[in-house]
Amino acid sequence: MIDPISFSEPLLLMQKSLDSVAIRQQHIANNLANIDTPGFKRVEVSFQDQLKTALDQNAQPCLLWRTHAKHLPVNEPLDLRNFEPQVTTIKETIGRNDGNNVDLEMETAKLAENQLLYQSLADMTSRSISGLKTAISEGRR
Amino acid sequence: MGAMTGVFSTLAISASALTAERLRMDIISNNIANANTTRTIEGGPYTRQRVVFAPRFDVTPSFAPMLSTMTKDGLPMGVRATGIIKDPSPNRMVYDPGHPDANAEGYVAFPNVNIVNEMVDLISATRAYDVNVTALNASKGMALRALDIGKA
Repeated sequence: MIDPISFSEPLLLMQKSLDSVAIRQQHIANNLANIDTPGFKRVEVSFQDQLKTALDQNAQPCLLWRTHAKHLPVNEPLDLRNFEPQVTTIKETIGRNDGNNVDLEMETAKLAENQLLYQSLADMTSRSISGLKTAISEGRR
Repeated sequence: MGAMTGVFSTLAISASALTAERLRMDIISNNIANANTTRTIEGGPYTRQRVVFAPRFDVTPSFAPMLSTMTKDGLPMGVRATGIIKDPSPNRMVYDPGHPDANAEGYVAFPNVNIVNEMVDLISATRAYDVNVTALNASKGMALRALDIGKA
């Protein structure tokens, strides 16, 4: 029997990454939309480091599940389904005299990077789905 | 995922900026067109106008935005033009006693529009418009790629 969690874990990982990249795209679009707004502070979205921490945590040799609400959390595995990207407003830097700190070049570079990342993730998702399809059809096409 | 997250809201963010920058360009064009207008309905020369931008969601923590954060509905993002204000700087006084709008001393009050400033603002508005079109296309490209997941 296929374990439903391990069966869907790569897909879940990719889904969470795609969601995070989409949220980042939203914030990059918002930063660019407010490029001429006085006092606006840019917002950054990060998820790769957090996702890596979560995966490293789950890859530890000794994981302890809590089977009772009053257990203490020790080496608890993290549920990827609850993963959320981290959204931070960068208030420390000053870009211009009007208090706006959106950097056009940096933001455009991030836009391109984000788009490529989304495309490669979408590609990987398609590939893992077609892998499952091959397994379902017993290798026949 | 709430109502304001997802593909269409990302497109709406860029679209709000396109609207705002377009308005800014219209106002700049109006300033340039009226750079030498010495009489208006209100009397006196034309006054330079400026557009004021603000984020669509202001960061001042008030009840409604907080509530929508709590309910995971997401906040409306993007930019909006909150108003068009008149530039209070003084008029340009030009000595031209033959002008029909000249005052007793022979000076004519011309609008406080500086063509060079307007051109710089126009370039800045055009660049901002361009970059938001780029962002819009990028988001659209991502959405189209998402539609291809699972195909082939």
